[in-house]
Amino acid sequence: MTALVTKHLPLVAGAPDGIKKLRTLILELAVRGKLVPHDPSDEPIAVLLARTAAAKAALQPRGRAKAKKSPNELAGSHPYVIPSSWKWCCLADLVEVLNGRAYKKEELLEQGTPVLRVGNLFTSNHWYYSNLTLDEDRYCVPGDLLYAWSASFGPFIWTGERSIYHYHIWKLAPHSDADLSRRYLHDYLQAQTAAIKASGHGVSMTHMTKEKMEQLPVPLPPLAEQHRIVAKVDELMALCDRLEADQADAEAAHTQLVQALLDSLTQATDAADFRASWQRLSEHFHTLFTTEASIDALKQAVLQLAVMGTLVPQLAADLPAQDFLKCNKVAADEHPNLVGWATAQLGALGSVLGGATPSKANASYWIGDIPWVSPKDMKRPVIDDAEDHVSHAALEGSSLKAIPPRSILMVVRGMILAHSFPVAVTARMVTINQDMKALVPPPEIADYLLMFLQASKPAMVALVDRSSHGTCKLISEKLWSFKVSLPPLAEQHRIVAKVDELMALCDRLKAHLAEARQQHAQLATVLVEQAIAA
Amino acid sequence: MSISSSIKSIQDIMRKDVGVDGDAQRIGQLVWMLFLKIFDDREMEWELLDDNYTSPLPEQYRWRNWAANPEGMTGDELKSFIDNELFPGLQSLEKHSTTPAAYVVRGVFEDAYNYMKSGQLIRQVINKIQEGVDFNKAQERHAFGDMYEQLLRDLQNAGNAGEFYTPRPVTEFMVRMVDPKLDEKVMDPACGTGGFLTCTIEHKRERYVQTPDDERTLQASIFGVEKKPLPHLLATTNMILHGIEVPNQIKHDNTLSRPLISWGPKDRVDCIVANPPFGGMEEDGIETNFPAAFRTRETADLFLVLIMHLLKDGGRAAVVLPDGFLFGEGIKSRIKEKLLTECDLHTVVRLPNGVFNPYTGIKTNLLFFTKGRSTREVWFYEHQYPAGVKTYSKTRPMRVEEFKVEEAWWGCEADGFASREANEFAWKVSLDEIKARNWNLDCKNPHVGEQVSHDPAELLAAYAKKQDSIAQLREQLKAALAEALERDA
Repeated sequence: MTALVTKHLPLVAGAPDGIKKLRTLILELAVRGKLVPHDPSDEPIAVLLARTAAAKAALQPRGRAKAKKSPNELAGSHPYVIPSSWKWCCLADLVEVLNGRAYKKEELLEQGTPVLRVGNLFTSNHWYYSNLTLDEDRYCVPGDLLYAWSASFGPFIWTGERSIYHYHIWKLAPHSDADLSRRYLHDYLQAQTAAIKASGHGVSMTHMTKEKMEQLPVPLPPLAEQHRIVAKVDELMALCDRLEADQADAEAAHTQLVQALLDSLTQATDAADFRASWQRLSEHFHTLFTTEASIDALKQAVLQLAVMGTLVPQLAADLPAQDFLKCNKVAADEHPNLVGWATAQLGALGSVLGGATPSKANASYWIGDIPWVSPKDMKRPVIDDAEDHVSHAALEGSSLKAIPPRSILMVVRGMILAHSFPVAVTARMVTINQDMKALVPPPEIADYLLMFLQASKPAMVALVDRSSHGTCKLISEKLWSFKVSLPPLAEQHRIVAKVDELMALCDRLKAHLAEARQQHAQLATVLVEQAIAA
Repeated sequence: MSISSSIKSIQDIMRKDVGVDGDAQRIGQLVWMLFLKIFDDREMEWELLDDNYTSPLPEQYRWRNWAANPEGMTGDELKSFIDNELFPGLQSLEKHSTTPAAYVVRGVFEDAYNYMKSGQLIRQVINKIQEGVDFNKAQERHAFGDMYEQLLRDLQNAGNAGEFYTPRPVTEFMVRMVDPKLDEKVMDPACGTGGFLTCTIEHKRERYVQTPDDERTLQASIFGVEKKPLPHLLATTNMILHGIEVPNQIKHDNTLSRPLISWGPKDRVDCIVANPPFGGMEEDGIETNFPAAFRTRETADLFLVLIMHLLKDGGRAAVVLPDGFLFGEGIKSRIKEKLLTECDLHTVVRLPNGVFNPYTGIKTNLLFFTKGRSTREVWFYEHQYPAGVKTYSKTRPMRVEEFKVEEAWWGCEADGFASREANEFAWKVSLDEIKARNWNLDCKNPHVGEQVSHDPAELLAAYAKKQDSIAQLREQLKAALAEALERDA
């Protein structure tokens, strides 16, 4: 069954968490004797075990003499089938499990011998030291095999300087140093740890005792094979490291390429440049748009193309935008390039309204059915409700203004402005808080205006001011003087329709890509499972 | 000034006092003062209705006499009065009066503590309470009830004081499904701040109380026991806020400290709704109050044994228990065996792990059972987070509407829940299966497992098919873009 994995290796490697799954597979195969060939000329395992038992007997006075299960008694508890040249042992047959010393708070100092605590094996860089001189057993030196058994747990080969290992760490000291590969044992415990973690279920390490650890079944190969396994694991893990690095590079390159090609389209200098850029994109379309992130970039580019007038044709029959704007008392200029288009300042397109917070002391203000919109509600493009509501009394009793449907809402203060510009259109009458502003344009242009502002998100974010304590603000002067280009009304409708069509296709593609990603992950899991179980 | 801002001002004043350390102590300080004020307001009403009314409190200890006047006692005189006269006097109130009301007041003050050290600041707090709260105004009383709930919720965030508070949506759902009738005795043997009991009171009032006689029946049917001082104090006040005139049936006691057999038939009740404390250990010796088979020191386990004992034949219960109980072995297995043989554990609602956020992320389950008949099968229901919600938090708490799905699916106990159907969140497990698993009730939703295939050939085929549809869709998108962009300029 490993053949199946080998056949589909790229598929597994490319899956979400694929390399992680491959690493698990390598370890699992290693401890089942499926990773390297067996050599019948290896010294038989029984001989090695006899030497180890003799060494253990010689060291007996060291630990407490306890009646332990002999390897034969383990017959009933073999987790899986191992090659006939291997033998199941108890951990206690191979190593002595030594407890780390529990230090009192006052014994942990700022200098002396380093005290290795569980945290230091994982995330902590903070070290304590000790001036005590202890039994040699209490120290760990490079090469020693340690096992952390508190909330974070797992085996480690110590690589640091000579230290005193703390409580919640065991040192696993081989009875016979020359007869056990510590690395092999480490890798086996690593595979076991993953299995314990994966089975979850609330079995925390507080249920793991020294006695249980000593009884842990360990499958032992002949010594020479132990070393061969370790060498092969290292080789394959190094391959995984390279694969991972390559993948990361490839992903980064892909993202950059997609953005560069889209930019060349939206920033094309003339018609010829535009045609060439589109040609390039079209040729490589299937290799470029393979991820949800790339589709998002495409969606933003479509918006930008839309408001640049490149998505639908300009028709001479359309009534110029300026006429419509003049009827609505909006000051506008003729667009320099696009026929029938006009330009105006955002603030000139309609009335501008601000927000407020009605007095929190008055409970009656806050029980009502008028949505009170704040930045946390601005996650959708159409606002028909909000988390908080106010009453009509609040409208009358405070400086809150009623904002009619088909108005444009924008966030003008808040940390979100550091990287985004939330904008939406209202589907009903609402009120807003003081971190937002509203624009009430002629209702006919509301849909196009929303799209225009969405297309302009990067430009808006560039206008944001950061104060000394980090608050982001879009000051009114900059916001309301922002230049808006408006096509004739008829063209606006055509543009909005075309954009809706393209967005719908993009969203469907994104959904399929997400499903495919899940399927891919499941496929990788199953292929790995099969390879281990075979 | 609104009640919420009164409470905020009071807490600000208390922060200036060196004796009050932390949210739990601030609430403990506030509650006994609120209690005396509330009690005084209630007395004013009783005096209007009954000319012969005499107060259970000695005159000098009544709120109206030592606290109500804003120009009254203050400073060292006030502090000394409270510590040396008021508290000792109320703690030995039985010398003055033995009415149920006196019993309640004494019970409250047994548990109360005056943390504040500054008489001046105490006077400021008292004045704020006096001007901010008129308990006899019905609307204010309701608003106050809500504010009290908020206080209790805040207490939950104040570190390990959270153990007394089960989220409201959970208690409401449990009470609703147990549906205690007007005259059924309802008990919570670990009542904490009284959440289950107040839900029961509201449930009965809404559905079954129609006359003043009914109200009296209701008041006589509510029982609670709480061992810790602060929550007992909070529960007593909570009862008064919900219209229990004299909450002397909320006892300050350790339910587990009486031998199991000492609870006789007359102690038994019709309904029990409870959330016993998890992970706690009782002191050595408590377990000897229980039969040998169930001798454990884990609090939640002892409570379950007690609850089974306290139910009348045919009595119904709903209990919150953690996953650890469902899969635990040893004595837990024996307790589960008893539960499934002597009672019909008909439903287990499995809650996600965010329900008790931020206090703890523990996974909990609601066990519904009826005493007097054996279990045939156990229905499990996996409660889902609402769409788009990954976990519960202060800004996005659990809501009682979320349980509508379970309520629609629930069916009727009278016909053995015949209308229940298995679906992606509901499944049943027979008694035999559970017995075969050594009474392990940690049954996972089988539906999820079914959907996901483990056959590589099948998965490979599905994956290839998916890639095809993606390629087709992409081609469509490319064509649509081309059509838009390749026009002659």
